[in-house]
Amino acid sequence: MVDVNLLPWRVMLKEERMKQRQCFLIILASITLLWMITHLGFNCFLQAMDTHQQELQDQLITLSGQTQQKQVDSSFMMINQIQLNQKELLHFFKSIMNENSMWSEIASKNNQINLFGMMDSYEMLTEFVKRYHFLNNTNLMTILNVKTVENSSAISFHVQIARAVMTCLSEIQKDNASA
Amino acid sequence: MLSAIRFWPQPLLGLDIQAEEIRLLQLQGTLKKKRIKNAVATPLPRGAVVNGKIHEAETVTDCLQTMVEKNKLQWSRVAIALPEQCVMSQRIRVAKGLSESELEVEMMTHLRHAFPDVIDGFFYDYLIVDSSQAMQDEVLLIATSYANLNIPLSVVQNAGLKIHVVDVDHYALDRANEYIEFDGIALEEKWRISFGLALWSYRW
Repeated sequence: MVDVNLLPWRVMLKEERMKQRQCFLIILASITLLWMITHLGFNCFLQAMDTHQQELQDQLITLSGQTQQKQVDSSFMMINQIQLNQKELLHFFKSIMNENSMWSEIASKNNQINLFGMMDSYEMLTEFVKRYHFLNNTNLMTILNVKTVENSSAISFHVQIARAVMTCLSEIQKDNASA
Repeated sequence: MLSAIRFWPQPLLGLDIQAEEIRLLQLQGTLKKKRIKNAVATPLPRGAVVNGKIHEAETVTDCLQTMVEKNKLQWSRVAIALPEQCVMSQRIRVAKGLSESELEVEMMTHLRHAFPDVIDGFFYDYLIVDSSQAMQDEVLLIATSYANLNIPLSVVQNAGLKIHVVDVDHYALDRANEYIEFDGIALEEKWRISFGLALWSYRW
């Protein structure tokens, strides 16, 4: 049996195969391009993420450094203040010891300083407390006991002051712990 | 030549243009269980086709177009056949083991040598018919000039069909007879060429 086709089927077949090959190459190139774009895009995204993370870490380090510096600064300021207060307190006590007052006992217990003594009048005691609070508003002075001396306007007293350095140190320790 | 055989047909109509009428036949079914799906014919005026050659192209085109539109077959693929007297066939011996392109060059050289008067060129095909010899193959070369095929091509295309195969009438007839003998199909004599052409549906 003879099967012949006088149309140029060989040429058409070649063209069709060439088209198929071109189509295959185009698809392959598209897939490769798509893969490259996706891959590069993903890498860029990862790099951007890394950079961003690094920036955040740098910022965090800077901020924590600044916070620590601030804490140290505030601690130094507080210590300075305490030292000043202590000096003022000493100076104050020196000044009032020269006046009409008598200190029978100065006792330190835990964080408190207990002062015992006598003064000429109750007004002098209140004046003394006022002046103390005017000069030192961080450490409160508490009047624990006042007694009048018989046949006289003089009084005996017992006042208590929170020990400044200890209190401030505990505050600093609290701040450091919370930071 | 077309070794690949399809089990399911590609829609391909067998178109046979004879002197008295145009016949279109379509097959369906598998290669082993094929049957005629559609067979239509339309008469042609006397003198439109003489000895298998189209003399009145416009008349044939009109008849074919009417037939195609009536049966809604526009843009269908068709196989047509040229009459035997319009084609040249030769058996040529070529060296064994030639590549496809070498064989092509060999055929072209042979055609130009055998028909130096043909200016326009050829439609041709070839197939190895005997490769039993040790040194040589026997190749059947079929060819026709552009002039012989241009008219049928334009007629069929103007009628709204697409030509996919151009066969030779007696090869189509041989093919039809072989299948009819093998399958035992009862078919009128006049439909055999179009049947043989429609069998191309089961080939490439």
